[in-house]
Amino acid sequence: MVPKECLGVDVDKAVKRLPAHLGTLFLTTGEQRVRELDRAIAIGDAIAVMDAAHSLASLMGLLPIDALATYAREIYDAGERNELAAAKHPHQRLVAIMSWVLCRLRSHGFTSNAV
Amino acid sequence: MHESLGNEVIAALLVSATINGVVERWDELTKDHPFPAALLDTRMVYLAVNGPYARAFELSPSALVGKEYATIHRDTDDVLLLLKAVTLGERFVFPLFSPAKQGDSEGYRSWSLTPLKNPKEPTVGLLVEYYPNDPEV
Repeated sequence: MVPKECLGVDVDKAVKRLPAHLGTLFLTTGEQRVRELDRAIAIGDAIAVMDAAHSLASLMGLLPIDALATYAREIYDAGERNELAAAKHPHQRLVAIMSWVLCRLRSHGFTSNAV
Repeated sequence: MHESLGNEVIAALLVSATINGVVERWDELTKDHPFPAALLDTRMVYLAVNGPYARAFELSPSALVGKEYATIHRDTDDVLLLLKAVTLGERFVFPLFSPAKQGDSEGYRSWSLTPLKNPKEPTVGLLVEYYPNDPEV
């Protein structure tokens, strides 16, 4: 199911435009950063939350989904204030969108380099 | 609008035909430019930076030149954006997630990535620039 934030965004077109090595890097790095964010939030490590959100924000420059950058910012700000409860909703939405986007990448034949 | 160095640098590339020729003219090209600018090759290694760029990252130009972008900017995955600009041969402007320093005033708010190439030839380098505001507004 397409996340509501991605409605009206031609993600497939953007994915098709990604050079192969960048698609692979997005997939590999995206999976890793989401795992880092999940772990940081689970253990309440605000600095690690900020680091992961910052890195995810960079990835958003590869695909035109504005909501991802917005959520990454909200998560980063929550970490900066050390109020990780405020990161709960943007974290859930970011993970939902990233899961869908990574799925789209895989459907276009991209594979992760993760070992 | 905050003027980009892109046109001057691309013109210098047309004249010199090589990225090394642009490096040789870098100081002349950037001497009056008030905002951070850096020149990288396609392996994402710094070839030249101006003073504002070095100051924004609290490093000397010599500490940057010859280093890989990802080595200097370990806290982000921004190098993927640089790769995108070089690979697609397109200019991009992005908001800065963490505004870089700008003396005592507000930080830089956006940055641009301009691939450097002669017509019909592959990209040979990348111009990275920072701006106090969106340069395309």
